[in-house]
Amino acid sequence: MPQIYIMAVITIACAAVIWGLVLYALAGRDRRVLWLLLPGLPLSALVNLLVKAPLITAVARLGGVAPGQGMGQTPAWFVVFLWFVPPVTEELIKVAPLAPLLLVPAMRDMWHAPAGALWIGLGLGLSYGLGEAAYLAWGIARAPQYAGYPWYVFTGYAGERVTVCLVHALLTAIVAAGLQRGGWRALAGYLVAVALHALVNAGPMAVAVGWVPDPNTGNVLAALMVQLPMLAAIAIMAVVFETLRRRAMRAPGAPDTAQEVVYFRR
Amino acid sequence: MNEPLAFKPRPSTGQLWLFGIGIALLVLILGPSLLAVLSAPEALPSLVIGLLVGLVLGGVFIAMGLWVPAMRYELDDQYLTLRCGPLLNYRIPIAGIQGIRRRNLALSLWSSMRFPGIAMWDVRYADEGRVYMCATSALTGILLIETEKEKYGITPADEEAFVAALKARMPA
Repeated sequence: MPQIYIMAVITIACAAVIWGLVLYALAGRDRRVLWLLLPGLPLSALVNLLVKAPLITAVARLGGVAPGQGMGQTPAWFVVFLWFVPPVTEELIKVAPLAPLLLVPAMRDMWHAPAGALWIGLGLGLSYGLGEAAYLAWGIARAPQYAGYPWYVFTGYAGERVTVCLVHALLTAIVAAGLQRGGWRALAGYLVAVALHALVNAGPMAVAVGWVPDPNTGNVLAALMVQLPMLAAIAIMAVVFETLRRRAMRAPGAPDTAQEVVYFRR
Repeated sequence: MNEPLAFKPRPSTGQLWLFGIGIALLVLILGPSLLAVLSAPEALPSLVIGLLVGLVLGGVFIAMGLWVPAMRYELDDQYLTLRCGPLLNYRIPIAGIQGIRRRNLALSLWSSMRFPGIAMWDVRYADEGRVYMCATSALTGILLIETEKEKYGITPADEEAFVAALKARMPA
């Protein structure tokens, strides 16, 4: 068995427990949100194999971009296209399970409150992130250059995937909050998520096109330059999410879990 | 002149979380280095670095876990003092207390020292904003002590007795 699978099981279990508990606590201990960890699991494999790969191949053929020439020689327009394919496609596919989910009365009730839409988005995004960790492990297992490594050297994979699960959760929550409010806000939520997702991917993309040296060579400055856009994107996502949540908690129909007892007030 | 009183917090599993996180950090940081040395003895320096980093990071959580049983809420005539060994010491003038209320708090994404069953220092909440915590619960049943500028969150085991003793010391 490829050793990456051992690390993948540990990583997915840790991410599911850590972020699942955070989601449960954020949602005021509403057990319904835990079911949301299931629908997104196969979506990463589906979007990669059935949407992204055929789309990139078709556009490359139409644009006359020869395969295997390396990112350094690839035309700039195609590099930009490659940069935006994951955000544009993934932010759509992550909310696709909403259509069947909203047929379930318990989920429909939750969706009607703005806060509920945020929890549903978080759950679907987290679910997608867990599935993506499994899909990437499958890809690494098929790569011959990683075949000889023991499982415990894949700590980079583990740390990145646990973090990316949170990124997917926050991005999908932003999209879901926009969809719940409808109209231009649905488009705005989607575009904000796409832009932030592109910012997350900016570091690895800059390495691929040769703008930043490969951080795997031990270049600390390069590693920092690769990580910086992702850290900035996570901070912006957290600010956007907290703003949306404060607004949602003030909206009519927001759950009041406070159960306040006043002993004294001056 | 009232007798100085000390109240204990509610029992919780917070201490176990701190020990668990400390041990997990030690294992996660030290484990790969140890496995690397077993397969390649020349990787010994990485084990030493792993041991140092693991002891520092994991040790901080384990030390915090050891001090949790020292958490106390002390009342004298003028001050309510929230203590947790040498880790935390908040002194609140009783005359400056503006409100006392119990409620569940809403988690926020901002990082701070809170886990299920333990919350200490400056913690950001989605509904109450910044609360200075010295409590054995992060979200549920928090007794908020409000002063003009700050909010403090505590979880006395005998909440009624604590509130009665505190109110008895407040100026009319």
